[in-house]
Amino acid sequence: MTRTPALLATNLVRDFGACSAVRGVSLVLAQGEVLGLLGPNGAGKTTLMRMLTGNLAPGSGSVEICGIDLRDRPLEAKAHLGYLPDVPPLYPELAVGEYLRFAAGLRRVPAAAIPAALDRVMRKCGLEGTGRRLIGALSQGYRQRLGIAQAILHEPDVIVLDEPTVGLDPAQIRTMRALIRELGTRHGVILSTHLLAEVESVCDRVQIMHRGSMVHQDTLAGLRRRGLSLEALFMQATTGGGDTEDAADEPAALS
Amino acid sequence: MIQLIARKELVSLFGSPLAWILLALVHWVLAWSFLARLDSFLHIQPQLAMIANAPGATEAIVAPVFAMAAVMLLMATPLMSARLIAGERHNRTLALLVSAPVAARDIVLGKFLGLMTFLCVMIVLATALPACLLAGGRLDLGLVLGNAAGLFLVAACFASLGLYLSCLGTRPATAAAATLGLLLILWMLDTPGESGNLGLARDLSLLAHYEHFNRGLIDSFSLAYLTLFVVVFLTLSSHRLGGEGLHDGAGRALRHGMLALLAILVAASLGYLARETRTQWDISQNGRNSLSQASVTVLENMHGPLEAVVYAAPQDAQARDVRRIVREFLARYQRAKPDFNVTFVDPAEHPDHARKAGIQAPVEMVVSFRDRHERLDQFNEPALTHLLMRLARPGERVVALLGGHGERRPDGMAGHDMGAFGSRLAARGYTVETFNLAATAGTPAGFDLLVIASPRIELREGEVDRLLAYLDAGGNLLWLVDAGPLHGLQPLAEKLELTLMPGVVADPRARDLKLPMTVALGIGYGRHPVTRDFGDTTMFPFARQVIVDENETWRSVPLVEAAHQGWVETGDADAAMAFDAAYDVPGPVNVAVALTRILQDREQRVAVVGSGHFLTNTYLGYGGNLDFGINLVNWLTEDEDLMTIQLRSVLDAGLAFDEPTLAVISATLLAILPLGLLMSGLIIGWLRGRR
Ligand SMILES: Nc1ncnc2c1ncn2[C@@H]1O[C@H](COP(=O)(O)OP(=O)(O)O)[C@@H](O)[C@H]1O
Ligand SMILES: [Mg+2]
Repeated sequence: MTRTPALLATNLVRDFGACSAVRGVSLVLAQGEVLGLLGPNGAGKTTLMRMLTGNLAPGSGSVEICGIDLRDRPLEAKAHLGYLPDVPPLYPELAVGEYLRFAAGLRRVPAAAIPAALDRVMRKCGLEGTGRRLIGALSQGYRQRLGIAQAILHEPDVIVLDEPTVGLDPAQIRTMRALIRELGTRHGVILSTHLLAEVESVCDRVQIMHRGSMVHQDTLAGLRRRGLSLEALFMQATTGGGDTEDAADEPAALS
Repeated sequence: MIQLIARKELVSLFGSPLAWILLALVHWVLAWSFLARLDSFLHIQPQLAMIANAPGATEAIVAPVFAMAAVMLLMATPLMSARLIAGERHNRTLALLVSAPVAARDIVLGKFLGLMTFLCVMIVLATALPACLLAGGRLDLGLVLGNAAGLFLVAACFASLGLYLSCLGTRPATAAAATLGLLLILWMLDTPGESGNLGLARDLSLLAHYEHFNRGLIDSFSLAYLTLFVVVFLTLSSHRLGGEGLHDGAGRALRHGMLALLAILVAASLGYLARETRTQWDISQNGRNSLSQASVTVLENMHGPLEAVVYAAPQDAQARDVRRIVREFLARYQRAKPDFNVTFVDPAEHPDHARKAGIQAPVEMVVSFRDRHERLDQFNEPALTHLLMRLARPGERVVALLGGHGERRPDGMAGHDMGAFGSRLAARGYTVETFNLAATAGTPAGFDLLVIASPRIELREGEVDRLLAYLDAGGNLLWLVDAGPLHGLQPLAEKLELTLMPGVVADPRARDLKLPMTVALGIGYGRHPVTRDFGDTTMFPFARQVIVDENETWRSVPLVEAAHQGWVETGDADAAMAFDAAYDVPGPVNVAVALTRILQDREQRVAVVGSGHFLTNTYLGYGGNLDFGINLVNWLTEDEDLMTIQLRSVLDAGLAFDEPTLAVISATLLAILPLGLLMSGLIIGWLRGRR
């Protein structure tokens, strides 16, 4: 492809004191692609995503969003970005509508376009009729959906979602996955998860992270063609090192 | 963008009851202290009227309330500022702002603006308190404005420091505690400690700078310091927040430290410049920080440098910074006379200097002008200006009081004598002596002014003739006439073309000041050098009416009109006094007159006052009596350019509230407003939660 990738990260490194959370991860995200970051808890997914979105300074390495260097021209780069952190950044004292209007303003959506954008995004995320409710009074599922709503309401080129389906019930998970697939047709989406099923149902491509490194990457189509199961691949990649920090979590991750 | 973030902050704040409760609480405390001060002011108001140079209502009530408001803001701001960034980090909401295409500067300014808007609501509520006083009188609006501006500036300082500390950490409670601690230190840096060297501490203290505004003084250095303070901390906040996600670890700390150092250096050099080019403007309408016109005139007439050496320890026994009090007092003179040099000497360090200068008081200064020196241990405007007059005045003036007929004595200490006035004249450089007709012969001479103060023994005809000859020769005269017999001075009254009416002036208004009705209050003043710009009330006990007859000889100007609601009581003054339309003359009554005529190309000056009591030891301190007496003597001895320092009377001296108004104000400030704020908070919280 000659088109500039939606997101290009080269050799990102990040240490927290003695612990290296991310060690030399590179990734490319094309436009119109859904990339799944798969890894057990503590693999460094959240740390990587915070670096991709300018929330955490990388120890070394660089990030380009739509060809714009995040460090050199942070404002321009961030203009193409939508981000749902692992904890949705919600103000409990604001009403849903107030919050989304604020987020739209921050993302420089023109004032005239805000009502339409709000309408659309609330419909997409199943938030109809909650506009005047206080965020503090919302249930977990609504909060998670509101978090996704703020990440996509300005139609960004790159959408970074950190465990977007945590806290949703099975029905909501299904609609959310459909929404992500739909987003993936027009935007570049990166989502992190420790759920194999999630990757299988929404992603075009998967990168498996383990203890801060990228241990495997492939397209879902390629896996299918070669008759490999994601589960086997994941087990092989993450147990190879032996002493995984969160080894106990893994059976749950495979459910 | 800044507006958007500020607006969100305000919705967050006012959407929850906390902000409203805080507003109500702060307002209630301020209102309570305000009403307490108002109450005590209304009580002491009559006494204040009798003190020369008493503070006005704004200075007595409003300025202290604003000073208290500044402290309340100091306590409240950390609570509000800590959550701005640290709170967002703690709740993990900062990611929303940081991943959006918003410059750190805009985030910082937006948060700052939001907080300042909230603080401004507090300031407006505080300013609403003095506004209530307008229902009962006038206010020194300049002083109110200076206070509000000062409050705004220190609030901005509190907010910017709080915002910066909030940028540094993830825990709001820590940020709040750190902000409060640091602000308290910065606020009280001024309080003298052991070291004694307080120059820098005073320059850095927020309180010291706020105090200028609190006094109605716009100080260019304070303005610059407070502004630089805000700019530095906003810059640092924005740099610290901008580093988020760009730099990390030791590298970031180093970069930030360098910038902080640079910012402080730049601010310090700008601050130094501002300090060196410091100017001050007095914006209070009462001009309490400025010299009176008379003092300015005295300084203008002194050509050449003026030196003052102040002997004062760095702090006095009560640990007060006396040097600062003296320095601020002298600064008013230095503003009018730039070549007035002041140096401070610690008498404990240089006992030999102090001894040589003859220093006795703990704080004393020696003022020198053209090789003449004078000592002074009183630091008030009349004292210093009179000292300057003495230094500037070439010759001596002699005031002679007629003696030998039971007159009031210029050195007597009895209540009916004039010893206090005599020493006041002496302090102003006059030689005061008693003149006895019996001890001399011929036309009285050898003095600049003759004072006849209430003789009690009949003057002999020859003596009166000699007094008349003195007048014919062009001598100046001050005649104090009591009610009752003239003791042979009737020819003098005829010579001056005066009719001295019988009866005592009664003034029911004196009762308001807890004085007997026989004290006539002088309120209206004639257009004359003696009473120019005169605003104080003068008080004339047992006064008699003075009427000038139509004549060609004397040009006369009535000086004082007294007893505006009173009358001349012709009945028995001891019996119950009441206005009797059939006999009594209704007020206002003229009780003092100035007469002039041209004699041999020279203006002869005479003043007659229908009360011998008003300059006695008993009554000298009442209202403006002393100033009026000094003005009379100055004019009569032809010292017009050195008229007394007429300390301007304040425009907000009197407040008058009737009970219902006061009750309405108290109820509004103490109950309706705070309850309204609380209710608004609860209702808004309830409405928002219910949807
Ligand atoms: N702020 C931090 N300080 C110290 N260590 C951290 C911090 N954030 C993450 N880590 C560590 O980095 C590693 C990766 O964490 P994270 O990126 O949250 O993993 P994941 O999101 O894949 O579960 C973990 O071992 C975690 O303990
Ligand atoms: Mg995570």
